[in-house]
Amino acid sequence: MPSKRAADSAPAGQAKRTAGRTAASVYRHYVSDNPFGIKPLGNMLFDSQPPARPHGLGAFAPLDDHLLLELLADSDAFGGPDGDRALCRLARASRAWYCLAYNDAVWRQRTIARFGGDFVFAGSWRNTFKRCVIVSRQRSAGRSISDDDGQDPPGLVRDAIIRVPGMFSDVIYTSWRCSSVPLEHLCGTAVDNIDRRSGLSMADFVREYTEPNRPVILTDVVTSWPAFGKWSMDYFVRNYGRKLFRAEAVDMAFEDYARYAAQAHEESPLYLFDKHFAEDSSLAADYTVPEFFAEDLFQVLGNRRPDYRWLIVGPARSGSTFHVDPNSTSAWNAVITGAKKWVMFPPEHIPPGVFPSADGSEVTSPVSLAEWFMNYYSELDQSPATRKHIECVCRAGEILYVPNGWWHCVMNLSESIAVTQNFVTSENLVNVLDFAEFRPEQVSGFCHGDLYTEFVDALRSQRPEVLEATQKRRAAKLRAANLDAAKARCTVSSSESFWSKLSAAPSADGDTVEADEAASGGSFLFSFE
Amino acid sequence: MVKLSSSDGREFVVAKEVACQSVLIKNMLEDLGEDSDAPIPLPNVSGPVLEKVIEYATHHKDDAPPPPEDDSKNITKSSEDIEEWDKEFINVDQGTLFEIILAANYLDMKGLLDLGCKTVANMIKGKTVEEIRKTFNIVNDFTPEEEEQIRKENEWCEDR
Repeated sequence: MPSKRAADSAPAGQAKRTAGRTAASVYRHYVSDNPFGIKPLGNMLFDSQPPARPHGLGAFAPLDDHLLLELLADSDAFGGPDGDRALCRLARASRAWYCLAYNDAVWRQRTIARFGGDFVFAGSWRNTFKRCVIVSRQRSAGRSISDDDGQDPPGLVRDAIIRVPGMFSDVIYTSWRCSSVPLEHLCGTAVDNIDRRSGLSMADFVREYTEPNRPVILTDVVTSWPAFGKWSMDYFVRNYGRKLFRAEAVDMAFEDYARYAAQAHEESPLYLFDKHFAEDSSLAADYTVPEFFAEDLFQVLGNRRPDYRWLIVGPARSGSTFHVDPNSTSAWNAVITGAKKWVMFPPEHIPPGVFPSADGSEVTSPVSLAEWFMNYYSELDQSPATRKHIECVCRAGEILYVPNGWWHCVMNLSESIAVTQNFVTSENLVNVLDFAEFRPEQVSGFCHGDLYTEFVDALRSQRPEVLEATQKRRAAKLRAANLDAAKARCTVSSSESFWSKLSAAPSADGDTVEADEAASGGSFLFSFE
Repeated sequence: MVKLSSSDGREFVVAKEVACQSVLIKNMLEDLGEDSDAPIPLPNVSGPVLEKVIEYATHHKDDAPPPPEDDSKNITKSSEDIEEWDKEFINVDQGTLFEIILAANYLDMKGLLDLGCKTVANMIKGKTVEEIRKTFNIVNDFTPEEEEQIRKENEWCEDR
């Protein structure tokens, strides 16, 4: 069941102008008109326009917009050219259907279901889909068509979005608002409370950050990489333009992704996250794993190790919703170009608006990153004395350390290129082994059977001393946990404990306390201040 | 056995495995515990519709669970491959069809929702714009200019 939206309790689009202009009120005033003229549902109560849905949807009127949009996006129900015609004729039936059937998220799903990553983005997903159909029709008719330059093929009529009165929808309006509210108003881009360090020795780093499990930004690492100053969208387009890179569920030629990224204006833009990039020796040579993160015990698994390194490329507004990194690994994230807003919480503090299941395998949170910021960011305790979280904007040339177990979400504030790797040090090996042994069903990126067994075997033959030390620590941890549990189960009442009698409250004269032992025949006499 | 009560106060007693085809009911039962004898209230579902839902759930109670969705495979099943029993079952008047879709959505029953959606899609496909309006009692509220603009933008799909 796809996730539903958190209730949007923000004010209706017709915001009253107030004297005090805080950042929050500024972004509410910015609330731009949806191009179809769609307004939040509450507006229906005082808008003079008669609502378009009842007569425009007819028999479909009892269905809510969420369900209607799901129906339209359903590739089984509306697959193939018959489905295309059905949707387009529905759009022509009434203004209400026009608004629903032109919803761009529907056409994003249809484009990817029909064409995978093989599309030339044309301003909107609906235009893109049309273009793909026209081009593929021309190709099967044997007409040669060069599609590399992104020009509109003959026969493509781009949509001219029409404003229609009388459409009110929280579902569509919320999505629109999330896609358009300026990020500087949404994400607290001025807030930054992370340590920034340079010139750290390995010992410093371990003592100040690895052992206490704290995040930090290092400012003097990435700036000396060949990638810095060399990598750009243009660099990749020129040198890897037709090479395929993974973007969520599809593989795309970089050139096609770059064209999409330059035009994307949606709530959750498609994000390029490719784990094979370093197989290209030139790209691999453009960066070096910093010495602080050089110890990576998953290396003992050779090329059977879980997925661990990614090239990350995305436009402004793309990003990752709250999560903890897989397999209890730690990570570093180096920004080559662009800027990323991070909000991070330590392992024991779950962020507001995030609801993990009891075993941690599923996390429920708002549909998009923008929606999380809109509804929950202002709930964060920003008082330096009591706040639990760390926020920052990591900029080009900086590298961020994400310690294992930390919750984090990341929002690209501008088009960004970054590299990230996940790793296992001797410090977090305890957690990684615990995770692999006790939650094998949640192990990620490893397709060769049982990670725990294979990892322990490989460590035993290649790093036996680390394995032994770690298994001892794990056993001690388990014993301590069992002892705590046993103590908690014990109910020792104060009438039975000798020591609790000794520390009983002072008698009426206030100065001395006689142990009950005296009363029951014992020989002690104590005096307490 | 589990007791379900519809919006109009009718009570239905069904086997637990039948009721648990609804993920909503399944979760409620897990939260309420086994012992509770109280009927589960379903204020969004009327008696006649709940009867149909139970009929569907009873027939499908032995179905294998659906395979997990796999985005990368891009398997698109045709909306023609609806089994005979389901075709008969969903052959109801339009009002009931939409009520079944709403109930399946509310009760979180994917198979029934998919059946309803495929059926509605089949009612739309192949019809002209005017036929679609007539079938579903949709009023044309476009201006002539709007209508013409939208027609032009959608000519692409009319070529075969």
